Amino acid sequence: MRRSLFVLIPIFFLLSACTFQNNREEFNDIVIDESNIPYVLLNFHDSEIEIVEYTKLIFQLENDRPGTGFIEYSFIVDGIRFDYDGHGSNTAYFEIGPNWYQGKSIFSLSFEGLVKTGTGSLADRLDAEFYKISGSWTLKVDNHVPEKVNPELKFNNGYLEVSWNKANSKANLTYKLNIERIDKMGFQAIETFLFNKSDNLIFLDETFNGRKKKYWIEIVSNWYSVLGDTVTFQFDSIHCKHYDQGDYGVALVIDQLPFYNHAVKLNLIYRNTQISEINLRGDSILVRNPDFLINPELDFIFELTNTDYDQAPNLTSLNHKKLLNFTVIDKYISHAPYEVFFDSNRARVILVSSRGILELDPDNFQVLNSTPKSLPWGMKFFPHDSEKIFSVNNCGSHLVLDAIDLVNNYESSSIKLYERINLMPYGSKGSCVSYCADEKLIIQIVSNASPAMIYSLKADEIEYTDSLCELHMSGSGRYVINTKGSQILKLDSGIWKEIGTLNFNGPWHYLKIFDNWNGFENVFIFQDESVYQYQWPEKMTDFTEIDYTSKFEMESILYDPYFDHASGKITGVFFKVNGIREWVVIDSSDMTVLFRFEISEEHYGRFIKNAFYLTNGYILDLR
Amino acid sequence: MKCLFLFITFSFLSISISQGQENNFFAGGQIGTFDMISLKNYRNDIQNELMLPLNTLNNFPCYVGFEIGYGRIFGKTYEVELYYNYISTGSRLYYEDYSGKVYFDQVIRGNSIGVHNKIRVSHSEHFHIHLGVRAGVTITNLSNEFYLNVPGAIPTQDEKYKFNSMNGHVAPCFSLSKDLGSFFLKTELRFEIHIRGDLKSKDNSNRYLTNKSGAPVKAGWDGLRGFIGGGFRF
Repeated sequence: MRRSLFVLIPIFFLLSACTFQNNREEFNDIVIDESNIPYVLLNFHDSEIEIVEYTKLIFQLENDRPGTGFIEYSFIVDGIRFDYDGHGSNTAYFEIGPNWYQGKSIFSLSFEGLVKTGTGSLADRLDAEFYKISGSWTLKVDNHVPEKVNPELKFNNGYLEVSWNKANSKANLTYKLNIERIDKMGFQAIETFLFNKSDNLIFLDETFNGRKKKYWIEIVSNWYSVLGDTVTFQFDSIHCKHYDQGDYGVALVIDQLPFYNHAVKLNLIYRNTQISEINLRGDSILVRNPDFLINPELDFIFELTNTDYDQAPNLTSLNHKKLLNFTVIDKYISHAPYEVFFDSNRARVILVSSRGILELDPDNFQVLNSTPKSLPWGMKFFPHDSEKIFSVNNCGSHLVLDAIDLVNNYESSSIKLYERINLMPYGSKGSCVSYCADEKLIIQIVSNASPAMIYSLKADEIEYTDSLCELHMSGSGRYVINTKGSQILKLDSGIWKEIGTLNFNGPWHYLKIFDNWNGFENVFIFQDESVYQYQWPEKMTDFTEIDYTSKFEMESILYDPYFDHASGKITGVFFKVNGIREWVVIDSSDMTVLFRFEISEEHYGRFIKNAFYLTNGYILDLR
Repeated sequence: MKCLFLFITFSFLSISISQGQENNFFAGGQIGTFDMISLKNYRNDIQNELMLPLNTLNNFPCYVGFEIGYGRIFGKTYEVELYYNYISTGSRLYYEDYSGKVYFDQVIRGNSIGVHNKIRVSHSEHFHIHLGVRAGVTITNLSNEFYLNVPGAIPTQDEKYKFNSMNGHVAPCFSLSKDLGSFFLKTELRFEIHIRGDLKSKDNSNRYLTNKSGAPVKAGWDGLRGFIGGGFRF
């Protein structure tokens, strides 16, 4: 046993030596291509460098081979050494600033640098393998201070004009035109345009939109820095003219607005009293019907105010007043409201016009309240509830939905629905809006340039549904009829579903839906010689077709029928074959004509839309 | 720890001899495979951070070690062994060219002690088959070495950092032995499972090795072990 122990102990020590041993590897074969050694020829090949402008001297390695680059470099100017870390870049910079020019114009300039070999070896990777390069130059600086230039900046006829008092002897002066942009979130951004002085510059900012507000010019040179004029947008260049629009009253045309898509407010001031306040949008604006008694001998002040909601608040005070020599050719007394309706809660007639919103007493038509809060031509108003009216304004590039609170002193709020350039040419058929029972807004857009669309809007959510030709909507907004396919669509959980078709052949003139009237959904269709009513229970299980053609002579069509939801009465105008126009009131339950009277051709078109059958039985003539 | 091991061994030996039971002593070499995922990840972190074209020459391969032990047989089938074994492995990241060389070595050694309880399942006179379970502790020594030599450019760097840890281990075993008089030959196969401890700095036990994400690096000795050796009975 002892002998065995004597044998095992050496074995133990022998095995103790078996600790893991790492392998070795022959070194990598890297070939050094001597012909490819980086060399430095700086971009200044002459022994003298002349500097005429504040700038950077740029020293560039000429063989721009991957892996090479400056490890470090130094500039020695008149014995003063400046060391820089090269960071492997192929370019070395040295800034020559005006502080070098004080009383001296000739310097000695030397450059020394360590350049990586780019071999990829271990030493190269550790920046321990390099070549030394150097060069020397004489630096001549033109330290003649040129005469100071005073730039001027102004708007002239829509163009930004830059001018200065005299030409400068220095060839390479750089001018900077700055444009401050403030976006809708209030963030500031400054665009800078550099240009060399030549002749006076006329600058048209074609990208101008409602967010660029402020310009200033400055010169930064070796010798001085000049901050020139600062201008903000001005309206000197707005071309305004007036003309008589006949029946529609005095019209003001403002075109060639240099600030595209700017939202401006037009305040019409007469004898220091604000008469009209109109929001203008778009680059060609027609303001119709100032709608008040105008003394043609007097001048009016139009105050144009930037109201762009994209603009930061601190610039909204940058207004400009322009005095227009406004000569009125004709005068009109009558009101020509865009829309008239009855506020049944307060028993008032509401007139909305370019002049403002008027509240009339339905008994004697006396003005109870007048609010100078007019809205531009082109808006439509739909009094679908007693507290708010809604309108959609076609601004050319986008639609704006306005809601006006009837109860809260006509406070209005607006949102931009979407932006789509050339969605609708200005002056096209326009748009309408309806207020839905489920608090969604259904917006119908009809355009010559684009197919009609339905948008279902709730808050800022817009759901595109389908491309439809022409639509009619019930008061609650739940049903829509596509007149081409005679389809009836129903809005169910935010989705339009086809629920049936009507058995009639177009064309027809007017089609209206009563919803939930007499316990039924009702559709009235007026064709050239027929009047139909379709009824169906709310669950839409079956149609009942009622032909009223035999009830009265359909030698005319009913123009612009209005259905009063509460009374079930219909008003409209018949165009008779003999040219006589009759204003009629029809009981929609059996299509019996309750009332009719002739209206002259002279009056037609003026107050056909102003005639209104009210719940309390009044017929409102607003001539 | 070594004193404790010697005390237990000689106590066990003296008791067995005094009681006249059959005892044996054995020694032999072993080879093993190793998991070492934690250390591999740590090495990969080092490789990524150095930004040098380092090659992995060794990746904790199978490597040899040895084991010695003392066993005692109770009755005809039950046997208890006390064992000590040693094993090592390692890894190397390496690069060398004309300008110099750089490497990062991880050499790891394991010293294990424990008890092996096994049952004899065959009753041949000279040929024995045992099934058993081993349990014990493994003391680990890890040596990390970073070496950089770029002659004439950078001073040579040769830095070593040492760490220790203690793992617990268990292993199911299968062993064969053949008697040759009072001597015998023995072979064994087992799979070790380790409960891993932190690798603490040898200089400061409050410090321990972590990877880039901050997780502790641990020695993963888990793997198969093969043993072959011999011994004698007394």
